[in-house]
Amino acid sequence: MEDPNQEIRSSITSEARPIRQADYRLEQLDDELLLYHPSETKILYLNQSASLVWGLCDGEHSVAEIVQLLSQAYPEAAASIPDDVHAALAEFLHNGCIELRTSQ
Amino acid sequence: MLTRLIYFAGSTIAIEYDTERAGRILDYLFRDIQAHSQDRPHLTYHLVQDDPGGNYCLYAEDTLVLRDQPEEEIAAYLLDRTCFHLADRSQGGMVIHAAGLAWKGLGLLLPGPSGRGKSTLAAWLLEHGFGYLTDELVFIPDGASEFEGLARPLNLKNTAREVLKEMLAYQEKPDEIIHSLGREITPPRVLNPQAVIRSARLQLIVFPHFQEGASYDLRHLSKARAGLALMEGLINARNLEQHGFPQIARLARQTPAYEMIYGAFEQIEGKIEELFEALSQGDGS
Repeated sequence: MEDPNQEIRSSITSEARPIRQADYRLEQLDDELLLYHPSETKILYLNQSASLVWGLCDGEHSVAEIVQLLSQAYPEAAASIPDDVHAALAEFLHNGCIELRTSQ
Repeated sequence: MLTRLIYFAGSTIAIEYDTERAGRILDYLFRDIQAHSQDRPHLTYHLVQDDPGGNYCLYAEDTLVLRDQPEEEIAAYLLDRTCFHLADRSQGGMVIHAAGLAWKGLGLLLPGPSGRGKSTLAAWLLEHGFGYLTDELVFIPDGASEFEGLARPLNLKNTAREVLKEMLAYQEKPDEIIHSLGREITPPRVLNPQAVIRSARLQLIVFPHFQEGASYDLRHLSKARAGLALMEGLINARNLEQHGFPQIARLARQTPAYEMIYGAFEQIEGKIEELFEALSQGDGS
């Protein structure tokens, strides 16, 4: 099935530094997250891997560094991590809960 | 002119009427719902019968909303609109679009959008000995572990009749069921004379999903998935601080939740009771 975020994914470069939008409320439920945007009444479910990516969207880490950090932390899943990271970032961008910084 | 108050979830509406027959309709619909309140009603309906034995007109404040309608249409309209108006002005807790029942005093929430079979499942569980709180609106007061329900008659679509036709109680009291366009309004005591209870301690959440011909499947939901689904059913989010998001997360943390897919009631005979038993023994996986 075609990824509805494919176009967004292709715009994510390795050097880009994703940063969370400030106005999201967050609830950690075990190792998953719910994000809620009060004024847009939008809610987003993040599974375990997406939750880890969300935690690294601090404007300091580049996409490549996020992939590297998660691959080091979870070597058994290293093969799928680049795809998981890009899928999560595309979903965040699609929902407007991060922005990408392209320079320091 | 007589007045019937209807109170639920910190919200009050009034219905004024002036004939005995009109009073019987209101008693039929609202006899199990709290009829006293310290608060002023935020909406008053006026149910008017121009001649005894005739049809009715219904006004919301000064606006005519139904003209020259038989009592079954009045009943159907009030059944729907009172839910809306009570939820709209609710305060002091979460109002969730869900059926609410209890088994041996243990509270069960069946949340879900219209069409998932909440009312039909509630009817079936009633006849299997469950207590009845509501088929539509659940209220969880702030900080409480117990919940209340809007104990209106069950709103069963005509398609439910085929599914429920084997139920003896349902067949034995046809005169107590109001037939309106496409639905049957059924008092809970038709299905189980001891059914109605005021509140129950919430122990289990099951998201029912009836699909004709489907195989039975019970899936444990993670807390985040349950929270997401509950948030979608939170009707009065705009009345709550932070739109009720922290309260929903707390509910999801505290209460085990499942999705139950089924295609026939034979498939779920005893299943919810088994879940309660497993939870009481510390095994809800």
